[in-house]
Amino acid sequence: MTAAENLLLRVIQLNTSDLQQSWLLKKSEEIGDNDNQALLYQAFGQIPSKTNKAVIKISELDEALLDMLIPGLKINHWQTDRLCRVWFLSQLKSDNKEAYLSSIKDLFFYAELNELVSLYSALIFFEYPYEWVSQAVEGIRSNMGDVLEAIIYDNPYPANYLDIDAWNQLVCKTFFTNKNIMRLWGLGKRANRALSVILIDYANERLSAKRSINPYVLRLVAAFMTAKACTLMEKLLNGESNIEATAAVLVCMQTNYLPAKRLLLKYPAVKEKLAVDNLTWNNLTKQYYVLQ
Amino acid sequence: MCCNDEIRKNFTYQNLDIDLSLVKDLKFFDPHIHMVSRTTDDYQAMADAGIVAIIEPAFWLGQPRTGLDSFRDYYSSLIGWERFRASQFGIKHYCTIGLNSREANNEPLAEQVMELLPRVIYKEGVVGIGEIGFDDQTKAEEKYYRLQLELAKTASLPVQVHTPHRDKKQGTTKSMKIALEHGLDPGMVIIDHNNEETVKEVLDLGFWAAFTIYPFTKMGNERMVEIVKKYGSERIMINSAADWGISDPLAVPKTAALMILKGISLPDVEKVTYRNAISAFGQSGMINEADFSTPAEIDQSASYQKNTILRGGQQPRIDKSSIVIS
Repeated sequence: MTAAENLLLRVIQLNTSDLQQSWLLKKSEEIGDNDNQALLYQAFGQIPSKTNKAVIKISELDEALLDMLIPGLKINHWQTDRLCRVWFLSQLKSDNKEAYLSSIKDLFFYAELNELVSLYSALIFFEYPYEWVSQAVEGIRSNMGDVLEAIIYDNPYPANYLDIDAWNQLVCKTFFTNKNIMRLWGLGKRANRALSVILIDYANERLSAKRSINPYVLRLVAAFMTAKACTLMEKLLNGESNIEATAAVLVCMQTNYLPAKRLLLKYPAVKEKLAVDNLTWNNLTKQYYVLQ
Repeated sequence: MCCNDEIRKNFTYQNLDIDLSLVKDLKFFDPHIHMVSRTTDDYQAMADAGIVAIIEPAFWLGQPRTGLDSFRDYYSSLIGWERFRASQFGIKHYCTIGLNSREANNEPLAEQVMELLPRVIYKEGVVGIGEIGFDDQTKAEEKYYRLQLELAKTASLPVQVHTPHRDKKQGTTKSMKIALEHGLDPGMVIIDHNNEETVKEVLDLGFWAAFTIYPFTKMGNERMVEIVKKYGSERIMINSAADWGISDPLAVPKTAALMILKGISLPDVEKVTYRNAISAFGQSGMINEADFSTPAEIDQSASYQKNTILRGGQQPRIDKSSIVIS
């Protein structure tokens, strides 16, 4: 068991009764001892009824420890059954690669809604991590909000393993479905020019449709400024939305792209306001979501 | 299930103004409704009318499936996509899983479906085997009905029995006789689509009697009121069986309103439109009333994790009174 899996087990022990823990451990051992797929899917299916569905309690110390062991992973909003399922999956024997992959794929194939949530939450614990990219991409196509949230929220798998196209698709889908982009881990390290080009078009479409623009869209553009992006920023600086204008100022402050810097001189009033309000991307984006 | 020429003949309206204010403080449980065939408008209206939980039985989709994958994907939608869709409107979605009687007649396919069922019936939120039983009352229907009764016994799940449109009385009697033959506890069996002719025997034998309020082809709700007056509220429940035919997803709350209007006591109304369904299907161990008895967070401005993103993708309301769509 890795240190992270050990930690999950400790959190499970703090959130389950003796009876519930011993059932889980026994099932996990039984499945380790023989390759019985029926045993696996039955136990996997029974976890909610044999453990519990309360939202887990986890100490700040354990949270910090987990973040050290697996950067980006947060489990404080999980229910116990989800945590148990993820740990249970992390203990599957993986030495026979083919059997391992096929038995987990089979679980995905027959999964109900909560099982899907657990399976996608467990991606980061699966062996052969690159083998799960196509499954993750399939999950990103899902329109079931809970499934999408299991992939987007506090899950480090996408940023660590998705290729650039799949990652960009995930970011776009997060904006498009109005999920909380601040909980998608790895945005900074995976920022890229292709994504920025897509997002500038997306922001322009939103503007034409008179729909609001998430400040994070602009944040992801800041490192890849172009003339087209500059035109967009100027439109926002002149626009009706205070949040969008402020976001545009933040972009212009963060970039070294000269034409954007010049915009700041052209619109000093907005910049002054920014200094007063002490705004950050996260504060601004919180305000944005409150207004949705 | 519906659709015959009677509908056209009978297609006139006799309006009693809908007054759901009579039931605005009640919660409803519709234990038989096929939401895969319904729209988001229906979900919205159901939530508004006080429906907090539903059961979607696996059924015939209006045309026969020709391969196993169609069954698998259908079952998958009942435990996945449809469950999610309902949650967007604050409605708790359960299902029963089974091979319906019509498609039991395609034996080669039925065999494969039987092998698939154990993969699905133990899932969370599956509250029974259903809807199964007789349609044409053929040998094949009987064979798969019996096999699925055995499956229900093995899994300790309630059974939701569809009774035939044609030759209903004898079909209902036969369905119950076979269930008893297989040693099922009648308290674990819900006999569906009853009418004035079948109800007495069903109750006398100790089964649950479900009534489908479905225009033209099944029960009207004025008849339903009379049945509750005569037989009381023990082991009786009402459903809409709304599907792809002309049917009414608000049949349960509307019938509750009519019952109150006609002087049936509130506790009786509550039993036949909410409580009894929970007692019967709750024997699966899969229903936790607390999941839907307290008002769900469907306040559109409710905050989650300190922002207003709607939980699980809950649907914002659209203004249907305006011709402007934005």
